[in-house]
Amino acid sequence: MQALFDQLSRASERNASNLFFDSEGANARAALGQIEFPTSKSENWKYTRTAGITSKTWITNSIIPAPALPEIPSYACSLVFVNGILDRERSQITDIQDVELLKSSEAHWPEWEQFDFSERYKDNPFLALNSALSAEGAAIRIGKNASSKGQIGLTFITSGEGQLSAVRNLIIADENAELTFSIRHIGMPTTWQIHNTAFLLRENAKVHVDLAQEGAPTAHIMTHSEVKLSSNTRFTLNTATLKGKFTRNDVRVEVLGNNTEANLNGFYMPAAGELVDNHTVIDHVLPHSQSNETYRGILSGNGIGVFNGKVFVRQDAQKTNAFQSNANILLSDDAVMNSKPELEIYADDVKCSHGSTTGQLDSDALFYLRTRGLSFDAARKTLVQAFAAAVIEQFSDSSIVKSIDHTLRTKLA
Amino acid sequence: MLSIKNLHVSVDEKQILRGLSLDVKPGEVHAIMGPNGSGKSTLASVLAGNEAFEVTAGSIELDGEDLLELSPEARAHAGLFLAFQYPIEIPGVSNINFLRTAINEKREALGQEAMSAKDFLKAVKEKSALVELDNKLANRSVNEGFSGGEKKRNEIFQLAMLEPKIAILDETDSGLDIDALRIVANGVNKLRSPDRSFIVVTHYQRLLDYIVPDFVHVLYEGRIVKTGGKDLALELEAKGYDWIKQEFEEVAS
Repeated sequence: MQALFDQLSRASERNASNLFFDSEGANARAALGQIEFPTSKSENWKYTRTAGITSKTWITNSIIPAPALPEIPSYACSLVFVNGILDRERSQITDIQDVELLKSSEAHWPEWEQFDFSERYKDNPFLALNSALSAEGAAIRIGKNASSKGQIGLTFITSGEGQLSAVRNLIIADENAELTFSIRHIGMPTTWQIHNTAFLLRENAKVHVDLAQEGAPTAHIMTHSEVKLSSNTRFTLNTATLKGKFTRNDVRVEVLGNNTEANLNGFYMPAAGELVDNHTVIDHVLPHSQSNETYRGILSGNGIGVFNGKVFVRQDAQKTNAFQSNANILLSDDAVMNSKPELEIYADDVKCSHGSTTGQLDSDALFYLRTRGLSFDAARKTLVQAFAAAVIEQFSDSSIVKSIDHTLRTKLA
Repeated sequence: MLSIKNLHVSVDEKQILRGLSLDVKPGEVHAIMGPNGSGKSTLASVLAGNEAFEVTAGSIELDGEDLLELSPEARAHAGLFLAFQYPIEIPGVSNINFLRTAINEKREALGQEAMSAKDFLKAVKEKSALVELDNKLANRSVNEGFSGGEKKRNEIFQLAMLEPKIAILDETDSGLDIDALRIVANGVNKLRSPDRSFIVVTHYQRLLDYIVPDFVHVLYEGRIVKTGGKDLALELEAKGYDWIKQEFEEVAS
């Protein structure tokens, strides 16, 4: 990966010494020489080829005169990053009580140290690239007993031919805090964004994130979310991948306390020329916890979907209740779905279930609706929307729900 | 109104209907009876436009229009309704919302204005009372978690909402206890009118005690082999189908 990084460094307007994540960045830069890009032989990237991305020429984290950008829904507090850099004009920065909201480079918090990503580089080489390149991002800390719901929106836009932006975020919910916020990834034509977001939930904290990803037909989005759960916490991450040539989401949840609840939900609808890959890992280390995963996809054209859901239940994690379901509808003969549940259970008193289904719309249901007078298109839309509803209703951000509905309608038209 | 002539239908290259002819005039109720495998449900499915069945010969016209040329939805718009023997469960699709879409698509096809929300809700209230369908069920996902009786009542509720010219009831009595049967039959009777016809497909005479037909037809080997009045159903109940089969074999040989 060294070659790509060198090329980026030469092309970048920013000097490597400006990067905030000094020691980690230096380590990552050193590691790049040893790390190869994934090939089809890499287990984690089997169905998701990246050569088309890595062979291109990119420039990174640079301020360019941004062309017209899409409208961003308003939040009480909205941080907008363009090409990895906070755009103060587009942002709406207001104080929220008991919430610290900073640029990552200004958040000199010790919690960064609790996340060591170097052990993940092998499985996800792009994390190393992210660590090597990241200069900025958002850092949110919600204080003890505080609550903020629907007030914060983070938007990351990558814009300009050949732009690559790498972003590092850290979200901390202190004891008994409750945070509900939204993230948007917007990829303009011929761009690449790599996100790494760390979540730390202290005891009794609740965090709910709605994430919407919308890329141009030539945009690439990669995300890694790393979640550490203390006892009695609840974490929900809802991911809607609306558009984009290439989207890869990795989520890793570590259950490091008792009585936690982790909910990962995803909705994706790859159409012609699009690929969406969701890789999740839930690692139940301690007992009495619950995890729920519901991922649903609607694939059309020659769209490609990948779901890989790994659940570890370690020996000490008795009374774990892990549920996983991945369901997909193929609307065309050319669409492809690769779905793989992976359960590794080392405890004996646990309840784990997983299910994966991929098929066409139920022809009996289609016929039934048509005999009542619904046109074929209306019947199809009705069934697809009903299928999607099970995931969409998990989202609490109505503007994201609206975006999903809109994309669903356009893609079905 | 409905005119079926010399209908031949096969499924997976197996011939099921072999020259069925039937004329239904406005306001008439025709019962179709017959032993298992005689083609009763095939007739119902073909009328509704199920593409799994292939019409190899014959014609079906509704008010002079060639029904076989029409999609299932166009047939519904033309005034045909099928009450399914096994109503489909559709999780996530609200009974009420889909009915509203159905009604308005039909109205649009007929060049009528969409039904107002107020009129629609009024109709829902009236028509669900007709079959004693709990309002809660009307608002739930289509048939999801409904009992057998509730599903059949929901079919008749939809019939009432869509106000077809001709309704086909495919073994609507199957799986119903006597109370549910009475409720469903009463609902149907209230929907009878001089310009609405019914084809009632059934195994048993029992339903015809409640929905009294003008004609009873016996379907055997893919065609109608005997036609009579409501008394024919009683005769079949008493004597079974063997004598009809025998008559048919004699005529055939």
